Amino acid sequence: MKQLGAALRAEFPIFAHNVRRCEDGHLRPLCYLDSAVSTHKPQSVINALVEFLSHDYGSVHRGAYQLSVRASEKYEAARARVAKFVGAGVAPEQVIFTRGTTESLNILAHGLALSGLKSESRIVIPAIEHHANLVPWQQAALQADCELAYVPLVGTHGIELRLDLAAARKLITTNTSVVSLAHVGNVLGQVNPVQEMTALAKNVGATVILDCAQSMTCFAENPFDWGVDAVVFSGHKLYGPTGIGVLVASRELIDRLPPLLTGGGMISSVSLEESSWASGVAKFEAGTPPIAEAIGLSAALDWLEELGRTRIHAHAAQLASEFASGVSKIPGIELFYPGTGAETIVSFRHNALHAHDLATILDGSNVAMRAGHHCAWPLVKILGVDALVRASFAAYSDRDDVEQALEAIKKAILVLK
Amino acid sequence: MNKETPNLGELYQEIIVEHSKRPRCKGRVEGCQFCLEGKNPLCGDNITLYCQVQPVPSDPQHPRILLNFEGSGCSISQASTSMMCESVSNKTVTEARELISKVECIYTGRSEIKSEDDLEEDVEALHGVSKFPVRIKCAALAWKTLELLLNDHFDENGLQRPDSSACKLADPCTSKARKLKVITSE
Repeated sequence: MKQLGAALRAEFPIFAHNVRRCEDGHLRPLCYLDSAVSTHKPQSVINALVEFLSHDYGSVHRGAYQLSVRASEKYEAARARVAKFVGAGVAPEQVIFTRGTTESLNILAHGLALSGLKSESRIVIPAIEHHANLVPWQQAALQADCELAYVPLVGTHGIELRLDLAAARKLITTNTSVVSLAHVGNVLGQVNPVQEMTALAKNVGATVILDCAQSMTCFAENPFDWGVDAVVFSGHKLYGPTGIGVLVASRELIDRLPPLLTGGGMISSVSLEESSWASGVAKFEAGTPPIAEAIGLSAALDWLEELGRTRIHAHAAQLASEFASGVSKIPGIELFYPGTGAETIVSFRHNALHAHDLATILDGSNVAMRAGHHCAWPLVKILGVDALVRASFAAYSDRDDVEQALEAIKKAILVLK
Repeated sequence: MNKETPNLGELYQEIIVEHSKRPRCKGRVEGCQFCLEGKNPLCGDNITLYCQVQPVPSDPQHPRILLNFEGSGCSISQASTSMMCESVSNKTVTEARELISKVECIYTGRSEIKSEDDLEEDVEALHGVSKFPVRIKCAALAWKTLELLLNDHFDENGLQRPDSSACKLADPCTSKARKLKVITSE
């Protein structure tokens, strides 16, 4: 079985190309602690893209020639691969390829606003969601003129930091039509109580949407076993290419929802007077789809499953906890980390050094971390801060990253003292 | 392949650190004539500029402006705003516009600093920002906001527009959000 951590970096060309001579004259390897925003790509994914584009590329479902046939077969095989990855019982006919989590959630929010949401309905989402699972629901609520209820966070600082299930119980009322939440939070890394939330939503007959953008690399359970109606995620956080995402939906939703994008490839007939939509997933894939990206994603899923998602989770969570313990000992640092042992993300700030300044200075030591509001502005406001620095850990992370990052943070604080 | 790290000392020059720790002209000005909010939505830096116009009896056509600000964000955005308010105050609108153009060349690295240049010393410290492309927007926030504020209220000759209305703090996002039926507790 392949080793996780530093040994795995040999498969990622990005590391060899980004050793850097720092200001103190030392060569430092790339300490990449921003995998929650996007992961790097293993050679097998890069090869899959190069091979497909070099040997088999053609547009899908459009040509009578061999290249188009081969490309179509590979594209559909990628769809089947995704279905298998999501879990047993998931059919390729439930897998819609999109450009990413954001587009997937927009398809759902827009579609539900037009088919199911009424002015007396309610949408329930956590207040701490990232913008991709927040802004589309604001738009849907405006479009349907319905209520948008926010489930609050318990705890504001280093303690607790979890979704307020007691409040959710009250907020998920009988008029609730949609409950949408992240499986894993992108800032606090908290694992949300998806099964409890789904049960509450199902009690009132609501549609449940699970945003797995952060969780798909680490959790191997099939979310449809918990009763959710739709699952969304992105390829680029799964060691795959950018520009490819997935929306896996129940057959009922696929039938019911109107498309977000219209155009070629998604129609059953077009005349000057009217058009009608194709059935099934094709209805949601207007235009030329991300073909090479789907094939790259398929290769990424092969790579990921060979390593084992549960193994990656244990590995990354262990490193996160070591980092959290180390960083919390640095004077002036305030942690925003639930600390249950399941998180692979650690957010923090310094009481005198702004997150952006800290991140810029860390870059001087070849340490890559994200700083800012992490596309979760309401959460950052709820926490009472203006910006956070976030360290996130992945399959190729290791103890040397933790050490390099901690040393760089200690040095950074001295720079602006 | 090895890559070089740009010099952090050039970015965080003493003057910049000093302005970020002890900002000048900071504080809300109640009842000021003009104000404008500026934001970097991707990173959350925000400032509000408060602008007062001081008439000069000997030159009524060219009043001087006084600037104050409130804000929060990284040291570069806040230091840049502090330096701007200090260096623009007591200038005419035309002089302020000239300074905006000159400083833009400094923080984007389009101009070398010349010793005979009559720029304020403090503002010159922004030249280090040009080596850090992602931080240029932090330095630019203050100057871009001031440029918008001046364009809103003064014509190309630096004369106050007759239709110029007072404080503009409307945020298109909040006005939309207000229509949402938001529920936060039951």
